[in-house]
Amino acid sequence: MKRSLAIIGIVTILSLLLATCAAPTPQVVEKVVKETVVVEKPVEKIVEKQVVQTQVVEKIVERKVEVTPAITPAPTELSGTLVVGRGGDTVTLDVGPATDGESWRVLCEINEPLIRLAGTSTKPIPWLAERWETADSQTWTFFLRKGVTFHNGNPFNAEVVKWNMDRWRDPDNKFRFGRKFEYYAKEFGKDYAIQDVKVIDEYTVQIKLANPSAVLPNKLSLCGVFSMLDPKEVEKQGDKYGTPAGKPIGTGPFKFVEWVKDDKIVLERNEAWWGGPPRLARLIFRSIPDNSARFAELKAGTVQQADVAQTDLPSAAKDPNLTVNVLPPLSTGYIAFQQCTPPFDKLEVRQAIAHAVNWGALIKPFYGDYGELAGSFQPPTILGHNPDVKPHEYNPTKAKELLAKAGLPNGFETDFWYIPVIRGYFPDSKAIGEAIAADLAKVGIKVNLKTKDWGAYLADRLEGKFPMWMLGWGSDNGDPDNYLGWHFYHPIGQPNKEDCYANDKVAELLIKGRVEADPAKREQYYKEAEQLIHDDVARIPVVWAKGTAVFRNEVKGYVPVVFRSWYENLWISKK
Amino acid sequence: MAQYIIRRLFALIPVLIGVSLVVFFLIRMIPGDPVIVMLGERANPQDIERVRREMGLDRPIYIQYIEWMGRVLRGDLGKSILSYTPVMDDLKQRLPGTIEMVVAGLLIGVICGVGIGIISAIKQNSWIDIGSMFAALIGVSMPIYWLALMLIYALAVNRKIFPPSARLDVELTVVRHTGFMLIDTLLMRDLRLFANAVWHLILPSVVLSTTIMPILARLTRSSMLEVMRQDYVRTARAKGLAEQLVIIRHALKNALLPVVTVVGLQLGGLLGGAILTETIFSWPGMGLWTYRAILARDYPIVQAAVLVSATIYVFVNLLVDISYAYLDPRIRYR
Repeated sequence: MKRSLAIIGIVTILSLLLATCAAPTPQVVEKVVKETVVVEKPVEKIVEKQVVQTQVVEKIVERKVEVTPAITPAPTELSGTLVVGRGGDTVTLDVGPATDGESWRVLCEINEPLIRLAGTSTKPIPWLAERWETADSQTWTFFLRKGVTFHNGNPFNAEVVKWNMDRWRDPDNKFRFGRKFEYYAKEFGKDYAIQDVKVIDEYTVQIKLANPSAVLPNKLSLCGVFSMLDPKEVEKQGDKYGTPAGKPIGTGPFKFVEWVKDDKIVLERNEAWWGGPPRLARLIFRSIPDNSARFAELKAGTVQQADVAQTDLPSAAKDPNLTVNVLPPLSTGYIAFQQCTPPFDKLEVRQAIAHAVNWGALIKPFYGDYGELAGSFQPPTILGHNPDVKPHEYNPTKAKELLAKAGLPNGFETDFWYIPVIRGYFPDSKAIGEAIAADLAKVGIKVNLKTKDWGAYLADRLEGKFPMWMLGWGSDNGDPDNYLGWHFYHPIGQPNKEDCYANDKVAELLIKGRVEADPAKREQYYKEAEQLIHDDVARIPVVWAKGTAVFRNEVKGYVPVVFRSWYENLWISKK
Repeated sequence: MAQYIIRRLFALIPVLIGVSLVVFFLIRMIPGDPVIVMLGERANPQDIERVRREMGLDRPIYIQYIEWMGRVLRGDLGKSILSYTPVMDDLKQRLPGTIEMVVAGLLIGVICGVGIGIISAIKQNSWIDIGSMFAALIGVSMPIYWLALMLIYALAVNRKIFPPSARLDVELTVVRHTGFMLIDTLLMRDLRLFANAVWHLILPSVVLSTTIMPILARLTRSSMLEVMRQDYVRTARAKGLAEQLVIIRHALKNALLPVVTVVGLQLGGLLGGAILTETIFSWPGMGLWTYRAILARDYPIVQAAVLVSATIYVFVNLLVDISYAYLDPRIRYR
């Protein structure tokens, strides 16, 4: 019995060790899109690339996925295997329940949505839907692409769309197999739920939302969640669908071959893809959890593309065998305040903090070329970004004056929370926090830097327990409703618990932006809201972080884009 | 003996209940829950409350425990909170991978460790002895994380002698029978595949073996030195036995008792080392799986993984106890 007790003890210690071991690991990367960035190319070059890319996108809109002659490979190069190294495995290959970037990344090659976003911009473009119409942002008609088939030969049509949408919106749908469709609940919720899906004819579907929402096309572009599955296949495979024991079927450029958990997912070219067959014969996603090991494999050539940690990017940029592509910024790192409790309830105090810190000096040392000093909250890729909103000027004298005006001539003391994980928007949260603290100390504001376990951090922040904290946001679907709307909307007269920020005028603008169908008017609403948020110092946006895509040089055909992987255009050069 | 084994197996029941209780409550005491970790920056209070309700996490813990235990007794370990795959399926996928690596690491560690220990003891104070004990000291204080990366860079990136990771080359596929790569490739009667699997197994298992090798070498050495001074060894030599026989049959067999005990105890270290080794070598096994589940607070996986490791632990200790009887006939179990 003594031994049994000893074993219980040992196992307890073991599980404790496991639990504590979890804390100091090098990285917790959730989403690839938001990953960090580094590239040593002059800015003009990047701009040049973006122009080229827009052309490619234009072509795709007109002629499906016809590739420009400049990047069309010689016939002998119409093959090759691209192995992608990434930090984690896919969680599920069923589109509805997938919430993580690593699942989306693979799903988006197998399954396709009705709408996608154009390359570098976040403008919705036709995909499985050739066009769509709405008069009031509440009833939408989608005209589907004809002649599209699933990998098993089954046709794609209006019935398929209805079946898929019914599966998303009904929690009791028997083909959900008890899975939670978190992103449907998030994006549509009760207020904007799909109330009705009507099949008008074989290639026309009409859907009705509970309330008008102009964001629908952007929402539907989330290919990892709102892509089309083959109803017959899901019904046949049952609850094996989407797990390693099943075989996901879609209309996408690549077909599923094999999934070995925590090891690899193998896809192969879909010869019958409606956009023309992709050039790569195979596309393999390998999970290589350790950052250094993954980078080593990229250098060794056993993978041709890898997610490279920010710390390895300078070394990657110097490697003659590798190309580091910089992506346009799509995320914001910010400082937030609890504005119901002193001292941050006073505008002057928030302004003082905005002026006391030399924000511009944080960019070079912590982000290199992979971050940009943020002016407005939204980065330039998002509709409604306001270029007239400039970063707060560094002016400690002014900060002191503002503090005196707020009745705190000698400053004050407060807790300042930094995130316990590595994110593209805050790659070294603690060090960035220390730099900010040093600047604040110069005007008499003493901050105590604190952090806690990620789960607890997020929970406490939501409860409004932090007086001042760091966090960030990366766009899900490119729409401002998912950016400004997510952070600053609150029911009129009822501030959110998190930061207690209340400006009914902002809330009204954000609601108008959500409903208005005309993009030009929407843009105006969001620009106005940006200015108000800036004037209120509701948050201090610090950085717009850029993502990277690192390839070995033998991979050809890549153009940096915001939301797309572009695998169907890539090929491996044998030279 | 059979009675003893049966009794020990019955003792497993209270151990597993205890372990499951501790793990069940402990993992729920760690701050942060699966809902928040899953939603990350996107979590907001309404969603958290809704998802918690849907997952049944808002009910009293003891009710959750009783329900879970009821399912476990019926052989159902539940489904992963995140991926919805049955935990049992995942377990069957990963357990063989870890066992393969741990057994290979254990074999290398024991053979080399004990071998070095014996040689050092026989050639006490020679340069071999001093050198190997110095190496053991370095080995025991070297983080395997670092060692693994150095070996990858030296032998897989700069010189492509070994593959940097995985259980098989990425373009190869194996028909899965047992989940043990070495056995499955042999079942396919494909020597090239088998060689590829062995080739992939070498670096990780060598790295893993360094967690026990230095300890075993030092222990074997001191234990051998002690035994070699015993009367029965002198007697064996006096009756004219060949030196090899004296060492193997008389000295080693007696010197091994403490070594076997330590091997059993070190299994925990090996399983722990497997987490790091699996992470760096992208080895799809239990360690990586458990580690990720802890980060994501995927409760059913963590609970199952700890139950399995506890069971392995108990079984290995039982094996150790049985082997005592073989090594020292005076030990009898009733």
